[in-house]
Amino acid sequence: MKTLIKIHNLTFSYPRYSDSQVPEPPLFDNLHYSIHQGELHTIIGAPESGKTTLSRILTGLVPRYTGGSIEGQLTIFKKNVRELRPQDMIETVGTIFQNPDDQILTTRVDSEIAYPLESLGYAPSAIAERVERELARFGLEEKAGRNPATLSGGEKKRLLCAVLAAISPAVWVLDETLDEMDPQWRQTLLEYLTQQNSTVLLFTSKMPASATALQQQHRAILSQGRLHSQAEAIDRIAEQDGLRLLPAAPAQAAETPDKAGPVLLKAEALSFHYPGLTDFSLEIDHLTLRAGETLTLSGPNGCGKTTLAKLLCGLYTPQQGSISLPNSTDGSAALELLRSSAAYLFQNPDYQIFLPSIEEELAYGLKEKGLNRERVTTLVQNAIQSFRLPPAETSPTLLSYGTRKRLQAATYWLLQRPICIFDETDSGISPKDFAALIAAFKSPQRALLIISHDAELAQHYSDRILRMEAGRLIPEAASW
Amino acid sequence: MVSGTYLPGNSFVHKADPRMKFSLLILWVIALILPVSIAALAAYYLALVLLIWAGLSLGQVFQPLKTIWPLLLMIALLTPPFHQSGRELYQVGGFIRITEGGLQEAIILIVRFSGITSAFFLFFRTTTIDDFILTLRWFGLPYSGALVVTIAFRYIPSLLQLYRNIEDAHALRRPVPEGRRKFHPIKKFSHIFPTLVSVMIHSIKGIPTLSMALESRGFGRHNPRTSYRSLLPLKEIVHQAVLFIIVLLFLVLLLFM
Repeated sequence: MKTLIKIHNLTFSYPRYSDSQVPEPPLFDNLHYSIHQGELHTIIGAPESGKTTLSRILTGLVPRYTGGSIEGQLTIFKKNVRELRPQDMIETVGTIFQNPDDQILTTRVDSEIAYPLESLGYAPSAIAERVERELARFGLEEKAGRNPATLSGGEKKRLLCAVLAAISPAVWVLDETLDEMDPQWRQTLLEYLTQQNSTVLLFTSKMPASATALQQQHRAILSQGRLHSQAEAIDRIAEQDGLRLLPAAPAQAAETPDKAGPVLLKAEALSFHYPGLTDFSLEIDHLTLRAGETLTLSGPNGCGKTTLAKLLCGLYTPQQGSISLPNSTDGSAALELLRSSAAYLFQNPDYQIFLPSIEEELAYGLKEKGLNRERVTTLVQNAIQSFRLPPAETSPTLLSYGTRKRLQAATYWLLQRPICIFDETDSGISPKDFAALIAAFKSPQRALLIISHDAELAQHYSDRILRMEAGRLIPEAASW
Repeated sequence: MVSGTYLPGNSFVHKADPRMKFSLLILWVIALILPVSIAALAAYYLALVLLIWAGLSLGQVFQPLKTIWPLLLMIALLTPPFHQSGRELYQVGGFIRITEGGLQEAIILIVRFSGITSAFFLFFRTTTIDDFILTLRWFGLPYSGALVVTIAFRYIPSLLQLYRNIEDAHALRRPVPEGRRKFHPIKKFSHIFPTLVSVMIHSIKGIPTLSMALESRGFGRHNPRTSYRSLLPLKEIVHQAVLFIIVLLFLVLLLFM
């Protein structure tokens, strides 16, 4: 079979920040790897292992935009990638970024799909044909005229898949693309890629579950600057880097809601819609969260999981219905009370990080609560140790994505909120880190609400799983 | 959720050709700036009000005024004392005189600003960004210029959404004050800075990422670029052109009132 991608002696390092106390960013040291046409390769790696960097080197974007030194050979179709401009390679190699918001350029779904075809100089009729075909393939026909900003995270990823499918490059480089997509669309994407005989490099921070098609394909693991492709090494490193789900916690999984503690939050007859959006409305008849329980909210992209979470923590106001807390006097909790009772870990940790050092970041909420300096210092040190954070004076902006997620969690952990909402927190961090976060927050006095597309993870941690579809809750779904 | 200024609809204003709407927008703004009588200005503004009512809803008529009310208030308070022409109507404290001329000047400025804001509001409320870009390109703006406008329209609502997300995220980290909440303007103001810092960090980090995204979509290739969407040929919008001429005559007629 023809070798399509060849990586030979590839060494890369980012520019040094000499005065930084943060550990040096990942460095590839003499990477060797070959990929044949039509193969699907899953590159597994812990956060910070360099998956995104490698994916961008393959598409010519790094070091073009980041700087850094690169040595060795990287060829696709025997052409040296380092000598090509990214825009001249889009028919050969296409990529989907980890954060879809970083890659969406236009204000209409159909225009987004058309954009690269316009760049390639396709005739308008040919563009229209491809746009229509890919909208249908990825279930976006009814959203063709929508602004992509109004789509859910998973829908945005489907849109980016449609963009690549319209160009149909020989090589697909997917950076955590399956995260945030619901299982049906993951399957659709993988089937499409197999049918097209496309060469695929899928970067992920989770070991593929044994039942999935990915397990059967080529795998490699990126760790400490090296790529390992032997099955034994992969298993060993996956275990060592915490890329597998840990064994289920006993008893918790079997616990029913009735056995859990008192009700911490009750939502009744909630109704909500976004102004100007007519194709979505959220209607929730009844939902309770009890102390000690872990509830997972699952459902297809765009079904309203994040919207419901934002209602529950007081970021949105329902048009109808009520959300009550044990200490709300009038039966419907005021927004401020909801906000101070809930910890909501945004998908993007950077929304919640804004101070110049880890210490100040952790101390912010404690100082606002009026704690004295000694108490604040003790609690901050405790959080740094518990969440394996770098030294207190380190600047959060220089931390890796996974570490920033741990810092985000630590800020809420210190605030001791009774309700904790993890919105796709498992995306982009290792199962080991996610397990550590859940363990840190799990308490008989606290309710956890996990939003996730990962069925294995949901079964693993949840006492209850609720499924949402089109803005409605389907009661007590045990299966996915 | 911020998705831009466009409000989907099926009214005749929505359906009107964007080139016609854009031309009318420019003409309307010019008409509102010209030194015409209060009656003519009021007629221009009233026509806009009727169009907003017909194309959107009565409630939307007040929407643009909500954004500029501090400016209108300042004009109403500060203009009359500085224009002392005409008959005296009122005197405050023996030295501030309100005259007919001052009042008239304030009304002209208020109608002018309200009209210009409402005209832009109506245009962007009923025209998609894509149609606006196509219009600009039809009028001769090069692709790189149109791209800058597209990116601005793509990112301005995103930055506003980002600001709100960050504001929400920060609000969730603060405790609720004990007892009845009091308004502390200094504390409220001090909370803006961390939010702005986060927005700035995000925006700066986004610059190389945006460049990567553009190049990964083929921006900067040497071959000629095509366009997926296009505006209707002019011969298919003759009826709109006739309407355009009637409106033009209306504007000119009012100039001589």
